[in-house]
Amino acid sequence: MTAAPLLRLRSLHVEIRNEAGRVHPVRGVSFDLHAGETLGIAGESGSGKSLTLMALLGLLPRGATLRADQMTFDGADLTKIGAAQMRRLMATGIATIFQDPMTCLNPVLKIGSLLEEVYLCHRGGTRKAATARAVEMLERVGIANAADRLGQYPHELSGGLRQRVMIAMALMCEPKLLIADEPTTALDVTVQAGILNLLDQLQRDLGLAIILVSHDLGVIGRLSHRVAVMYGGQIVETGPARSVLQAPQHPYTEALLRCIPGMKVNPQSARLTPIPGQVGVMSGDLSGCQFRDRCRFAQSRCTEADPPLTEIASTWRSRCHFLPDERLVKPEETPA
Amino acid sequence: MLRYVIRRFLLALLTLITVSALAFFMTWLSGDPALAIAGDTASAEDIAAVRDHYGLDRPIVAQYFSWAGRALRGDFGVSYHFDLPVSEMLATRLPVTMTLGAASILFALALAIPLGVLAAVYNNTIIDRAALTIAVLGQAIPTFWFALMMMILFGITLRWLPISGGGSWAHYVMPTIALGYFATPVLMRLTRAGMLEALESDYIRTARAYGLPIRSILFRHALRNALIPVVALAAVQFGFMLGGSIVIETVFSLPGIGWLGYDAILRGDLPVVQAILLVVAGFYVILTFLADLLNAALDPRMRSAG
Amino acid sequence: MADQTPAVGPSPGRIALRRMLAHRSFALGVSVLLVMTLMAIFAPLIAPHDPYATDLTQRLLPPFWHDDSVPEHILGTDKVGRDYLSRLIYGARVSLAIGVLAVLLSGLIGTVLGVAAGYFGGKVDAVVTYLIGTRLSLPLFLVALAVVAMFGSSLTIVILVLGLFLWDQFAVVMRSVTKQIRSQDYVRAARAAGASHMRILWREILPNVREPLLVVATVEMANAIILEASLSFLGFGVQAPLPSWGLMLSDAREFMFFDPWLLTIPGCALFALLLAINLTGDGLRDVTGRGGVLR
Repeated sequence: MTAAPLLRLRSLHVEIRNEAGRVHPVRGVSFDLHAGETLGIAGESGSGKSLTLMALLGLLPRGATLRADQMTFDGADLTKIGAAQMRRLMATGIATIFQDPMTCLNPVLKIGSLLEEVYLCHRGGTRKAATARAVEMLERVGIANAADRLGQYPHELSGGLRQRVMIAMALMCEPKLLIADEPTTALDVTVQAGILNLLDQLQRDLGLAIILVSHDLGVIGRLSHRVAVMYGGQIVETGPARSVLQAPQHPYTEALLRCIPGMKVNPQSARLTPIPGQVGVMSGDLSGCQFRDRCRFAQSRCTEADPPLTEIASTWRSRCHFLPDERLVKPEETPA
Repeated sequence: MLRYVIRRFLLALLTLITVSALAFFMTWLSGDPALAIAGDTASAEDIAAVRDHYGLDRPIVAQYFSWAGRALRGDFGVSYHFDLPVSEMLATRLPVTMTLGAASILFALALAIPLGVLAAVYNNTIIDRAALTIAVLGQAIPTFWFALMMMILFGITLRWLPISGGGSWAHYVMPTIALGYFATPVLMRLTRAGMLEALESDYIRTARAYGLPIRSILFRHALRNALIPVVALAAVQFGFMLGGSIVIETVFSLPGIGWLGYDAILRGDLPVVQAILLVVAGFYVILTFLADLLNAALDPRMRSAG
Repeated sequence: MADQTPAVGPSPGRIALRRMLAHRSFALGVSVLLVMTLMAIFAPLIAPHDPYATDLTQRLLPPFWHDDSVPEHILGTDKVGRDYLSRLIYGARVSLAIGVLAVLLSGLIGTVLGVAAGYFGGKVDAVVTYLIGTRLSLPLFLVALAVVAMFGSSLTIVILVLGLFLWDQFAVVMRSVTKQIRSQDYVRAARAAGASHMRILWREILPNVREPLLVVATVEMANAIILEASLSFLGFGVQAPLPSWGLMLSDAREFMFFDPWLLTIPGCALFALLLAINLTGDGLRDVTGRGGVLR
């Protein structure tokens, strides 16, 4: 990992101003991503993971502003390049697939015309070449009768097929980075496995870098080399996927793992435990550990000081004041 | 889809039957039609003769069916006042109203769609507010007063346009603006709302995430979705215009069915009133039926839905 | 619940009020509407002259911005020498009375039909849908003209005709709003708890349809006022000596070449009233954040 990373993010902040006041949903997120690497970003909705991605793509909602010490992709400074250059980078450099392929594909346009437009817009050339490319990509993602699909509308396809179309669209212009935002959340469990296998295979064959965002650590564990767990707009734990999933250092990672059936978590057996409470609104005084209200181990120190991102091993860090064996379960909340 | 079309068609048919019955029985509400036909000075024998001639002595339901049957074949009887077949009078007047209605709806769309798109794209800016102001003013100006004001300005002061009659295209300019401007606000608001919804949608986020040019995002991806309900509403508005052009046609002495209807009501010429009522209602029913089908046809999601 | 816990922020009513005052066009609309209403109610006290008193020696006097105007008739006089300002003030009575009474009648009809359709669904809904479709297919203006021609023109007839015809939007909106509310959990819970239909309609549905109802009412009130003016303009509205803005416009038409102000003044009054009503309606829609189902 000596080569310069494909994507480098340093201290990204996103702020949203609206009627209610100021919200600070992303607070100092940093990570590197190398070519051919898969980074899994985990967290509940409201953890700031989606906004981090939207900031990368320049698609923040109205009223949201970002600032970052560094945000470079493939040598380009994303904070400096203009809108036109950013548009050129989309699809050819970074391609994105979204959660719900039903609402994310324009309902009144045919599959073929959606795919061809992306190609024509970035690569130019003839319509015929674009059509050929579309057929090729649909076949590449495992869609049978690809040529016939071009004339169909999104709603005429099943959820799994639509997500494959979305992936084909992402591949149209040979991107270097694929961002997959909850790619399987809206799909049936049986279809999920197929999509994950496809992503895995595409990465091996094409050497894509992938950022896989999901609330489901099980999904992330399937594909990722590294994981970053987000909570309260910050990365609370990051490290090699295998290590983090086997021996989670942060209480939130551990709690997330407990929500997944069949996951073996060190402290207890395979009992499913929901995380109490819900993600707070990121405004007002944000000092101290954001997870403390929902944490079984919270102490007074968690309110008083921001926990630092502490090194566990060379590339493994956790944002907690306590190591797992230093923690005490709060007495009044001990399960009977 | 087929089931929907059939159900929708049956509803349209039922509506038409109801309207025709209402139009027919209106005659009876207004007094003895034989008296009306024969005139004030008629003797008792004259009235009896008229009653016999027009079949007015038969049971009223039987009369309705024979009237409706003739109306279906385009025979609306004879005008009391002009002693001409009503269908002939309609044939000369209807094109005028249709032209006015079509021109007005096109004028309204030509104004409403660009304004609606602008207002949505520049949501909450001065442009948005200006477009909304135009809409609010349009709704508050009574059509006939707007027409009169235009007549004073363009017809009398500036002498640019003729103020009455229907001889040339110039005669249609002011009526078209007056009638069209009134339909603009709803169409504009609907375009704006549709665009706002589209621009917030996931598929527009996709289009932006793929770096498509703004022109394509606005017109190919967003407007296509936003216009689906607008087209349907425009068809319905066109139907309203055919019935709502009475005041405008009267003000500009434009010889369409609106002015004819006003005249007929003044003279108590019931067959003409009935026929116009039926024709306008018929057009409206057919237009709303077509608008619903058009909606379904334009929206691929509805095309294959149940 | 609200009674037990101390209020943390301002109450919802307070917030709504503050938003109303901050909404400039709403405040403008309500103020103009209020002034016009007061003008209508206290017309006998405000009007400088008897609106019916004719004076053939003082015919067609021009308003104040003309050089040969008379100070005692600020807005001039009409073709039989009646004071234009006084007739204008009394005319607000006709417009507002028609607007309010027609909307009360049509609002009642439309709400009953719409709420019934939305609440009971099924056959009731089918019948109401059919009634709405039939009503919409009848060309309103033509039918109104015909009915007035049959029963004679008077204030009562005009109010009745408009009231019996303008219920369609009420029914459409109330139907969809009721449908929405009906599927909410708290209504389902009330039904599961065995509350009667009447009780649910009265306690759960009606309080929630208030805002959309008000918004439709403003739209239809403006509609009724325009229609009355149009009918009167064509001579099928209220009776001749009564000061109605539509009638004034109708009388003014023959003088539009030489005395266009006869046309401009009542038209502007009509325009101001309609604008005030529409601004109020739009403001209500914005402030309450309801009535989004409206076009």
